Amino acid sequence: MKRGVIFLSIVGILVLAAFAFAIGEFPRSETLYVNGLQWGPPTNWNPLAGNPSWPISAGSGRELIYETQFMYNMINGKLEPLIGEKYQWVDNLTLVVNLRKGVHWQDGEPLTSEDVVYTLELGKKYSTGWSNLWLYMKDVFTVGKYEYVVKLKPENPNRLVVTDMLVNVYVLPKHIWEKIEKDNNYDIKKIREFVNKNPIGSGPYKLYSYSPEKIALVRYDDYWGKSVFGKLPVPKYIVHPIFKSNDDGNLAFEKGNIDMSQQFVPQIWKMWEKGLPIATWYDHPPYYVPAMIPSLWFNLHKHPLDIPQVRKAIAYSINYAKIAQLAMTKYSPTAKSSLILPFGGEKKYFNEEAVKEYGWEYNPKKAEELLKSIGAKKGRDGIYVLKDGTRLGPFKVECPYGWTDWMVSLQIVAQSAKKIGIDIQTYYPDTPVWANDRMTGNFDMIMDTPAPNALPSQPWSRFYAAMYSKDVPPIGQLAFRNWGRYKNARADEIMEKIPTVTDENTLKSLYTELDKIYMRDVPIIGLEYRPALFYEYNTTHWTNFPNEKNPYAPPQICTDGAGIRALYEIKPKK
Amino acid sequence: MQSGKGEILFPIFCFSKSRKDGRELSPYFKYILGKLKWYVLIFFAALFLNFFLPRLIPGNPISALVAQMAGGGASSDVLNKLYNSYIHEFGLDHPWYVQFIDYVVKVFHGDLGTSFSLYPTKVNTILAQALPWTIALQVPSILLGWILGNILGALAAYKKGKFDGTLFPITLFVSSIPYFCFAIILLYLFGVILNILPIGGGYSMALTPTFSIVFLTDALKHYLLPFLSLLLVIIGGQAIGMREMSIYELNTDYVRYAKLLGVSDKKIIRYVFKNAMLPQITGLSISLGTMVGGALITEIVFSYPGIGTWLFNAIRQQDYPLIQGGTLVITISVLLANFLIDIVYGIVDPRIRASQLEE
Amino acid sequence: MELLRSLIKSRKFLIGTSIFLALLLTSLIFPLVNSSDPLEMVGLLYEPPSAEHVLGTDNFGRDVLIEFIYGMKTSIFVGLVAGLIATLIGTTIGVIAGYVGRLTDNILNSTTNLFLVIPSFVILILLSSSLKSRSLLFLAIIIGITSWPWTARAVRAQTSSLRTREHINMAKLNGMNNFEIMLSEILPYVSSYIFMAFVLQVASGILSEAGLSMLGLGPSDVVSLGTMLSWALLYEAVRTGAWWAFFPPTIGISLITFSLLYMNTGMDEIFNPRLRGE
Repeated sequence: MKRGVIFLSIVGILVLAAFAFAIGEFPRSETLYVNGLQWGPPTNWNPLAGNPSWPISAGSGRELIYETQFMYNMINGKLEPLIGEKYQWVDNLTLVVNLRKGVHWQDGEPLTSEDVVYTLELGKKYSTGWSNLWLYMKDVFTVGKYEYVVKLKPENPNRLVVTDMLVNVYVLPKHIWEKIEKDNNYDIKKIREFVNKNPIGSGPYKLYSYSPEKIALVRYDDYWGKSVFGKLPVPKYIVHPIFKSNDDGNLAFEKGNIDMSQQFVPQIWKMWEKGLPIATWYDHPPYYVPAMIPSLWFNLHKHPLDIPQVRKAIAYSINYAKIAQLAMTKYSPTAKSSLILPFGGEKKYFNEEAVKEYGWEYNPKKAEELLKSIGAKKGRDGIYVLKDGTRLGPFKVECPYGWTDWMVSLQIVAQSAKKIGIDIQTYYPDTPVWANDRMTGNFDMIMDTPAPNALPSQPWSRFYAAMYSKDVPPIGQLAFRNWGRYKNARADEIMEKIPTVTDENTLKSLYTELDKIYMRDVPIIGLEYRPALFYEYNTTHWTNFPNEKNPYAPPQICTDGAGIRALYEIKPKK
Repeated sequence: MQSGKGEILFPIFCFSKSRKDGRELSPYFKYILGKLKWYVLIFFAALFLNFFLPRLIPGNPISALVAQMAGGGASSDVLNKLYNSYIHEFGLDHPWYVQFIDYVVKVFHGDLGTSFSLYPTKVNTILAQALPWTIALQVPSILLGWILGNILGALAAYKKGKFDGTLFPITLFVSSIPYFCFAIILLYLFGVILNILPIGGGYSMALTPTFSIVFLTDALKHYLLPFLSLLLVIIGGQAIGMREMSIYELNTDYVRYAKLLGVSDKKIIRYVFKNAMLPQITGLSISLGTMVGGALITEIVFSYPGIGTWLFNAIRQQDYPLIQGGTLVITISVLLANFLIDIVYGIVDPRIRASQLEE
Repeated sequence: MELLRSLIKSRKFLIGTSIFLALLLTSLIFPLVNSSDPLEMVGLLYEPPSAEHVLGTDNFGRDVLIEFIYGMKTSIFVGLVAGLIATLIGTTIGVIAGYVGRLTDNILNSTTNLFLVIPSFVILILLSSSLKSRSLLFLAIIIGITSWPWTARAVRAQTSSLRTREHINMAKLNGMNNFEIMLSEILPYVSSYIFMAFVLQVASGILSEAGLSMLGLGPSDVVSLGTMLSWALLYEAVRTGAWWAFFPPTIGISLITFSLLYMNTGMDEIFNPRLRGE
């Protein structure tokens, strides 16, 4: 027995000694830790697959590995040059884009207009995230090495969506992806399965390592931007640990193990009141810059939700201030009854008087008056019953389980409705079930954000997602927008007209008319405002993050669009 | 995966030495063989449940997968083509019994399929790296908990009086606290208030899994809380049972008789506990299912990267192959553990070797 | 009956029952006295305990004390229903298996063991995620139909030992059929075990409900102790130190379970004199 113990301990010591010490492989002062952008283990880095992992996110213009042609700045609405140098709509149907000279891929090959044209045509050949461009584009062709031209279809010329392309489509290297296409027999299903673990982009970072616990990037020191911007991004490594829950991520952020977070942290001001070196863009409510409108969508084909007065009554019953205070913990100003944001680049289209006159606000008395005006009577259980005998409820309102701020918002909706006599029950299915319900129209009311991105084409994209009726398959089949299957010919007409108009005054009146139709028909109800991305940072290890008082870059989490300029200016704390 | 059968058959060969005239098998061997037949049966029933239950979940995971893969703005016939190709790839266009047979064949080849939510990662890959964490957490805590709990229970039964009087309600209360509640309390105490132990995960994010002292000590820090919460509740439960069994035994006739005869206390206790142990061993196999379940829930509370957390996420994501794979692995492990316990029980309980075959 | 009279002699039984009844009665009487709606959002996120809200508010801004009392009612209700169903199924299967024996016994016993071995929590999770309706009753029913094996096993063991007793043979000679025998000759003798099993099943039902709800598989519009825990976890009560959000439900679940288990131990000592210890 004794000999056995001695033997085992010797073996144990030898085993331990045989393995090397691994001191944290990322030196703290050269590494930027971020979180909130990757919630499951890494899958792939393939921009053509449906589920690529961080940092592949063309939609928000994440310029780390791959890059878009221009960088969107959500604060001033400008498109800043990156790979592209300038763009111009020479006429309503023609876009000319000039690329920067001297840009090269991470394997040394030069980036030319051929790469851009090739990438765009991939969308025509296969179903990709940018295939919808071809609804509006007729042709794309190069003019020399650094210039290309886009011709729009005269019957459907949408400049807005095509301009979006400049900031939300990654440019892919033709010489690499042509080979990938060939190796996979031009079968898009096989191409999507390609993991792309050594992605060759044009950006300043390469993929360094990955595991189910984190993804790490390393700086590419031969980045073409070095000569153009005069320097390289400061962090040598960017690491995104993958947390299993909000708790873990927020605790790590509090402790300074995460420098910049995109997670929803309720009541974040409590952190700096506690004395922690944490800050957000604004140091006062709403703390973040709103960019989108999570909304309550109605199934417009389900009785009695097909009656506009019922929908409007619900709209009047909701306590929007409570949603802003409680659900969004003050991160949102109280929502107004418009699909146009009263801030930022959209502010010019927001018509205050029209909203006041035709819109709604929290007014439970008015809600009940509306119901009474169509002959509804309150039943014994406190719930209204319509003249035709339909009880106003139980309606199910759903959002994904785990989306904490949305879950609270819907509780408030349900409670508010109960108070005025409409029976709404909350239902929190898992994300894939909710996503499917959304697309197939299998819901009474569902919460979702129309066009959840900060893009140059807003607010048009928001209206398009919520109200445009053409090419939307009926309830039961998969749709990709307009979940409630709303249809209005005049609204469609306006939405087709707006992308072709350049005169600001005309645009203003068109948007006002569109918004009025929205307020009259109430296909969806905007519940709150929300930032496109949450931006909070901890200055324990890095300082000089941009904020309201030091807005040298927009709050696009230091990696997206024009936000990436922050990576060049932040300083490690010695 | 083929080696599984061999591991089960090996101990049988060891114990079949008493084959007299080639026809008479030792009672122990008969016992083991009977158990084996039984376990194979359960295995197939489990396979069926594994296959069938996830398909009860409402919603269509394929359309979610298609939507994910297609990106925005795809036309309906592109979508349809994609949809059909996935249905075909996952074999969902066949009737369910064909799918089941296909599934069973694949399982015996060790192919647990491809995950939906982490497409195109294979289920085997995911489970293979989750399994060590779960085993490292469950095996020591269940074994240690069982041993310590039994000792504690026996002690309480023997000492009686005040020791038993105060210990019993306390242990009962502790074992009434569900695993996950205990986990939350420990989390709060050590993770937040005292701030000495991490509140979740398997290891710190700054490190990569390697066999290094730094990593191991860090993993141990993360291991402590989940391990403790399981251990303490299991000890509680076992202590209660053992105490009851021991009291029962201590009051039997043969014990009184032995006492009257003047047999030493020490000798009596040895026999008493040997007898009290037997039902505890069977008790272990019965409650193993519950303990494993509790351990899996604890994993979820601590976001420990084991099978529990993965299974739970798979259910949330409607990832059929991963759900099936996870539940299969859990069921097989419990079956194996039960079988091992039966083997041990067969050795320890002399009645089995003597003649008995009935339970 | 004399059963109850003998039970009252056990201190453990009395203590356990009184705690349980006290909790049950509080949860039943409170709503009659105080008409507040537990789902009403009366404050902001995680306000600490104050004079206005004795146990503070939860993540939805609801009063924790009111939620706690309603939650206890819900949890006990689910436990009772699940326990009842499980005991009924378990007793039926156990008695039939134990009495009839032979092939029926083998089949029933194998099924029972099957359900014992496969971790029921896995089956529970799968079943509850697959149901569209997350109503309370449904939950209680599924818990009931997955937790009966324990009772079946215990009742079967008792029944099979009774099978060979004299009065059974007498009844057979008298011409009673199997069903009548099971009902009038066997049941009364195993009733004490059934009662004990019922108590344990209620406890297990409450724990299962708590576990399922905590994982988010419970009803979303009703308050139960388990759902309180699930919200506490989801909304980071631990990290932010909002102990009032998870402590009460934990104590509640533990107390209810403890009281039931104590009751059961008391009963065990009465029905099994050898356990009383001298």
